[in-house]
Amino acid sequence: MTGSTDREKESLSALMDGQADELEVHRVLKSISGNNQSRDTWRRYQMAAAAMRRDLPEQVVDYSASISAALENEKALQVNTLSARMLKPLGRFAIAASVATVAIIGFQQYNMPDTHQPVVASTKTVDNKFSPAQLRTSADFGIPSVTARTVSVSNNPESYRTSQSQPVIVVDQATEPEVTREQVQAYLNSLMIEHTGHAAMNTNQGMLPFARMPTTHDQ
Amino acid sequence: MSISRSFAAAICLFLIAASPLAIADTTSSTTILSKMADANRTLDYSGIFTYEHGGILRTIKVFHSVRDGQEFERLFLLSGPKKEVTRQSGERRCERLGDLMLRSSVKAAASVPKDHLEKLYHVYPKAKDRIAGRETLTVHVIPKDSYRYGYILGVDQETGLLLQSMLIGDNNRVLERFQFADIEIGGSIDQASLDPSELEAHRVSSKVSTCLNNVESSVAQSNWQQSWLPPGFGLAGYLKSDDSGRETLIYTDGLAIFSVFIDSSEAVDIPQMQAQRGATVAYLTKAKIRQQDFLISVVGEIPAETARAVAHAVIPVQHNYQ
Repeated sequence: MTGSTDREKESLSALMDGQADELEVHRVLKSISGNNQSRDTWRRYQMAAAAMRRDLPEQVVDYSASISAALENEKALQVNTLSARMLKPLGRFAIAASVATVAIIGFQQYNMPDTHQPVVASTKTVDNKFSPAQLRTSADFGIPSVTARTVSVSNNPESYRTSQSQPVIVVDQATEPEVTREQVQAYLNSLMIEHTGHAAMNTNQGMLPFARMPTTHDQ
Repeated sequence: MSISRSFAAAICLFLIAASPLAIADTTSSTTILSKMADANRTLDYSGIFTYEHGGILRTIKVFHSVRDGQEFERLFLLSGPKKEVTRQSGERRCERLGDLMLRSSVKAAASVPKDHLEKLYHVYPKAKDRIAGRETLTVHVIPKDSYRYGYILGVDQETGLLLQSMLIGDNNRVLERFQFADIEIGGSIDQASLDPSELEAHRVSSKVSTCLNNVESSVAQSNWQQSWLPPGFGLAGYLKSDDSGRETLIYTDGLAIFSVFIDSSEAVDIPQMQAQRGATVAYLTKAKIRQQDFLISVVGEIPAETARAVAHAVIPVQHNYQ
């Protein structure tokens, strides 16, 4: 197979929306497992969906290949048993499920523990004075500053490096062959660096904008 | 009856007595931001701060000195790749929009109505805290609409210097945290500490004039304008690059800042996209005007929806040719 055809993309899209029939699911799974391009399309769809849900991960790790490899090995072990033959479709579904989790594996866990810091009476009275009816969410972030932290799921030094140098990117258009990923990266970095400079000249947060500056400029 | 009443009165008294901060802050909650605006432009300090987002932690050393009304600053990374930034604020008598907006609760300006910030954010002084060994006041700054993020600020009680800042996104997510670990305020900063040390230095020049008196005259050359802006944002700077032809417009609401870049050169090959790094979002979109392609990018610490709306509201200026 040379590439994902429009029909395949349609099927992928249907699968994303939960609209695919069983036959279609089988066909898609078959093509995804043997075709990198389809897999990439699938991944892009997932990332776009994640972006729309504002659930974009800090970094994306593709486990699908390693999981399919693991499944291959497993199959080889029990290929002759009847149950293995019966389970085969399940195995395929497992691949689909693993592909589906690609986009959410790298979640930044920003979510704070629900524990509210015991508030002193003084802040409570201030709250009451200050909170008008039209508060957007709650009157308070409800985040104890002592425990508030930004956490990443990954503690792998390699992915640390990647996530530091590469922002999460979602490209709208399917392919833009004229530019490489590196060019896009460099352009984004240059924008961020310029913005940092503007922000530093303009805010009263002093040096904070510089802390945000990408460190791997032009590399 | 009278016992319970006096008991209630006692509680009230206790509450009042226990919250001298709260009483003081009903007047100073707004002035605290104003004080913050001044601190960075008047104080000498050196220290080490941390910056974290998404599990990444950076440690940065900073020297900051004000001489003759001009700010000099040098920062370098203590962790990761070697990197250094030096900065020098430009003109001495310079009013910046962001400053005026932060001070709006104390004094109105021609371009900024009084209580500008209060229209956009709720400002709640919270408990006292201690950061970098100094007494701080924690201030929650909560947006009144969804066009901007919120902040938790830790402000030095004595000087008003910002010692901690957390950017809060949707669902109370902490998008980034900046916090001093150690700081010395006052004391003298020698010139050697401010001079760029080596190869990796990145000098931030003030090519973009952000002084208000210049902004208005320079933006007159702009070929672009916003047909819409999120409420409370105003133009803080404009730049047209002679080399690349890139035009840059900078907008702020006093706390948040975003830059709008309009490129027409080779950059137009960059696809439309949305990218995110920590709290910073970049939204890139294309426009075709009179057969020419343009790439419009919005970069800033604002929600992605805001960046998208801003990017799609960039329109060409109809110049009156004579």
